[in-house]
Amino acid sequence: MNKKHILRHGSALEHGDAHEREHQLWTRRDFLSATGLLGAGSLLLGNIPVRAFQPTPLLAGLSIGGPTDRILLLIRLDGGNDGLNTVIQRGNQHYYDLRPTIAIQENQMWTLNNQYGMPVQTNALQPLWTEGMMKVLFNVGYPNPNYSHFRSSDIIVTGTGRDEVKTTGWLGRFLDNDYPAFLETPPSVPPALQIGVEANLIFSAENANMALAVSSPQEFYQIALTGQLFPVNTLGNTRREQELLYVRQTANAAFRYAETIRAAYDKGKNQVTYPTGNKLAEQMAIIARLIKGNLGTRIFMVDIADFDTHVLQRDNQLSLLQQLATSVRAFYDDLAYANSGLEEKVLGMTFSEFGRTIYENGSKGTDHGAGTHTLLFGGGIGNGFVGDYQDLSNPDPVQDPVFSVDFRDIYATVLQDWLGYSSDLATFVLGRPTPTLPGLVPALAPALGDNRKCALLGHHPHADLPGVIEIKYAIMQDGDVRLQLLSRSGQVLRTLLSGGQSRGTHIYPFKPAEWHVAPGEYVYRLQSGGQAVERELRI
Amino acid sequence: MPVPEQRSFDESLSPLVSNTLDPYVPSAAKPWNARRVAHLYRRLGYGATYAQIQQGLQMTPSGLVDHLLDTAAALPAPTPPYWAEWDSTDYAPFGFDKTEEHRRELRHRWMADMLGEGVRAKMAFFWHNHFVTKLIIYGCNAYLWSYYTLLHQKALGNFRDFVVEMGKNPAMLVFLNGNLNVVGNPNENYARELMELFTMGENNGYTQQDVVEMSRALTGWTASFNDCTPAVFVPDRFDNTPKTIFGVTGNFDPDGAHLLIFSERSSQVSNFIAGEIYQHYVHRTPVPEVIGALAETFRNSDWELLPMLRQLFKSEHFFEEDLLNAKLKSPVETFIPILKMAGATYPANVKTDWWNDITFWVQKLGQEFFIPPNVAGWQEHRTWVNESTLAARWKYATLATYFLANDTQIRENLRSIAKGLTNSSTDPIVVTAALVDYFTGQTLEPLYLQAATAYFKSGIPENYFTNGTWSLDSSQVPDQIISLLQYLVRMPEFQLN
Repeated sequence: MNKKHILRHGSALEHGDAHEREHQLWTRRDFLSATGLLGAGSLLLGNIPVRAFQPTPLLAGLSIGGPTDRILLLIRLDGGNDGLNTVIQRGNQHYYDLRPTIAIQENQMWTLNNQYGMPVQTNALQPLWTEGMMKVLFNVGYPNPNYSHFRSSDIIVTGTGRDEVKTTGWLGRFLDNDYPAFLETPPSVPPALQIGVEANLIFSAENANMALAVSSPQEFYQIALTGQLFPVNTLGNTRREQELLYVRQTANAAFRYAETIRAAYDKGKNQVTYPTGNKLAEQMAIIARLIKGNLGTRIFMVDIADFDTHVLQRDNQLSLLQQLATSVRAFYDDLAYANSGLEEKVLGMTFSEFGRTIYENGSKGTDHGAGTHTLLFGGGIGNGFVGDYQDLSNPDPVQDPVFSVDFRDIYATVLQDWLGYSSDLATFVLGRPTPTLPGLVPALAPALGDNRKCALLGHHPHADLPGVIEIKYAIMQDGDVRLQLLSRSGQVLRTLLSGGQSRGTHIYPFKPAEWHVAPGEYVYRLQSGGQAVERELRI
Repeated sequence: MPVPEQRSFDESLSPLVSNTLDPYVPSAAKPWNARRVAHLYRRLGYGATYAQIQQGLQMTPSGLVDHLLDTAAALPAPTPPYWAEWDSTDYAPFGFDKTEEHRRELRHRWMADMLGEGVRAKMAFFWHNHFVTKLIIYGCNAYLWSYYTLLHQKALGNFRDFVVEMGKNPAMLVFLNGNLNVVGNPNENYARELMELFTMGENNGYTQQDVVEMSRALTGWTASFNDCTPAVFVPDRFDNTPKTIFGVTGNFDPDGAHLLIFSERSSQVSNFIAGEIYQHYVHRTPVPEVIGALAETFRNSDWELLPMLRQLFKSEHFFEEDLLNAKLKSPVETFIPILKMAGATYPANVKTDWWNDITFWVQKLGQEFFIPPNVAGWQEHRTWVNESTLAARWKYATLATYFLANDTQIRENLRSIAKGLTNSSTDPIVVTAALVDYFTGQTLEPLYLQAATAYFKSGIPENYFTNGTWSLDSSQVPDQIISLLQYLVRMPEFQLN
């Protein structure tokens, strides 16, 4: 099954799915609190009984030294940003020859060092660079690039190779393993928050989109200001509207994040002035406010579109880059306000589906190309360059320069060094062992190591009950467990079990008829503690 | 912290303009448009295809109602499966898998009929929830078939005949203990429900004495859920003495006792059944004038259902603006119409897996085929939707969109629908609004239409929409529509039928 479109809208809304398991929700809150992921003062623990949980790899990793609340902010430059005009190799005559009308001239840039510069429109970033809060990764891409916006975007957000079609996003798989019972015992905060609807495949897991996606700042304000997903005071008293009112109020009650979002939005304040008339700044101001309000969400994504500059690139791209630079600057100034130190906890990273041709086209623009530069932001990351700039000396008009940094290596680095996961988890998420880029970001110590967190112990027909298959498994720590039935092609058919279980050996009595599963060949999958194991099953 | 605003429901419903069954005459204020054609199809069946809406617009409202009802009424009786009369001996060589396979076959057949013909399938499903039986109680597949085919054969026929036949249906005999109701040892279960739930309504024109006497009259028929052999009338089991029911004395047999309800309590029966139909097909709040008028038609047509149904669906009342989309979808209605509107047909597009999944989903949402929760049936309306089931509806309806996304023909259907609705517009806002209207029958508030448009745009660069690169012929269009649908199924508007 081609699940190209996975739960595009606010899957977090599904959280009513197991309302009766409220206690487990609270348990997770207790747990989050105990590890300091959230400020204890922000939690309403009151008289809720505390059940001890072993740390998940996420929290175990984060609790070994270092900060415990690192955040990742992805800034998507939608349409394919031209890297060559974002960070310019100063004095490279090939560059000026290839781009006679759109090249950035020496007197139109601010300098990063004696070799590289950026358009003067981005000079809001200069303090970040000089204060060691910005890095440039040159020519980020992947082998044999695809030049379709859609396919290349899918490759980038799923974290796969060119010819591999995955239907889940790299962050979706990552978060899915941290929340194996996401739908049944939802966390009180969204694991990820995305403003804008673009590229949300990135947060897609098999069963759910792990991000709360709000389509626009306006939709977000509806939630943040009213604590409700949908307005109820705009409806009249016709029979249709009265039924709609019923559904909206039910949805509002089911929407678990509304209150935490509203509380964080209420508590956090924007303390600098953000640029106006700038859609990206509007999104980033919201996110700064939520971070400062201790929302607890660790992954955010914002989006700025229209980088597809086939025509009259100079004006268009420079305006977009200016919006990017002023937004990022305001965001980090806001985080760092009054020496809060928050700027050191948030790693900002741009990404784009591809770069553009190294030569300009006949319309004073550039067409779809291969790699592009990635910009990293964050207090304490230092400044500098990673990888090699595109070789412009022998341009083949058909062949783009080969990429320098594989985007998947950046993902692995973010997962391991920034978020503190083990290399095992990075391997699971990215589908293969993936090298990291040492020194790119201040590294956390790795997580618990390579211990197994769960195991399948076989299955067999029940001795007495016809039509029952006993599936035996063990989990090595208390925590959320998910057991699913899949087709042999990997499509999840049924979620048999999802919820918290205690450490030990368990038997799940599976009755295919009750689940309306026809005889045939299947696979079952057990997930717990950030691991997944599978086995074939004949019914 | 301010308390989130809550509102109480139905504070004061807006007044209805037409509380009579005068025939609907299209007007500028109440035009015969795609929304009303779709409304008729949604209520009478499980939605309309794009082509059906176009055809409906070419007909008069009355002509379309007649066409739909006559077509449904003229359908042949369901074709018996090879196992229609299998008893326990026939099943003995097989495991439970075979039993379940046959049940599955029937569920799939019903869903296929909902997707296809629609009108009779829905009416039969309504009667399933009226004359409730539970498969887990009677257990026999032969009884299930007997019950299933009766529901379909009588769905749009004569209600009195329907009731008489139901009284000797083996599924019903077992479920409501008619098989234990014997002379000298009456069991009142069926007699009571016959009057309370199937014909007259609770406490509506019968006494406890009537229940006792009625049960004596209903003795004689029996069925065996052990053997699964056909229901039989055993004279020795029959109480062959006079009974006094509704003050009328006679040696009533089961058929006679059923008929007596219609002759002696025609007002109660007609009003009760008309009310049930009204609430299922129009709105959960009964309108006594309308129901009374329907009941009169029902009585006066010797208990034929069609005249009453014609009158209802052709009425000004039925097409009131206020009543469009004023019902919550049942679980089945959460899935079948979206497939139908996308042009999916069985077996060309719909795979057996789809039916298996939908069976599972509707069960999770509280509507298990052949197994309503109790003899009163599914309570429908707002009981379908709570926090838990709403979230599950979002989840499963989203999964259903993958069916559409993965079928080449349906993908192109979606494109054609979008082109037909908008005359191949290149404005994504226009296309989004038209698709929202088509799939929900409603208009979204600006904030949500804007969001819907963003989902429809699906990350396609903005300049593609302005520089002529994008059109409804673009390769991405089917995926864009799926993306929009995945947004729409999570909008509260989607839950309205």
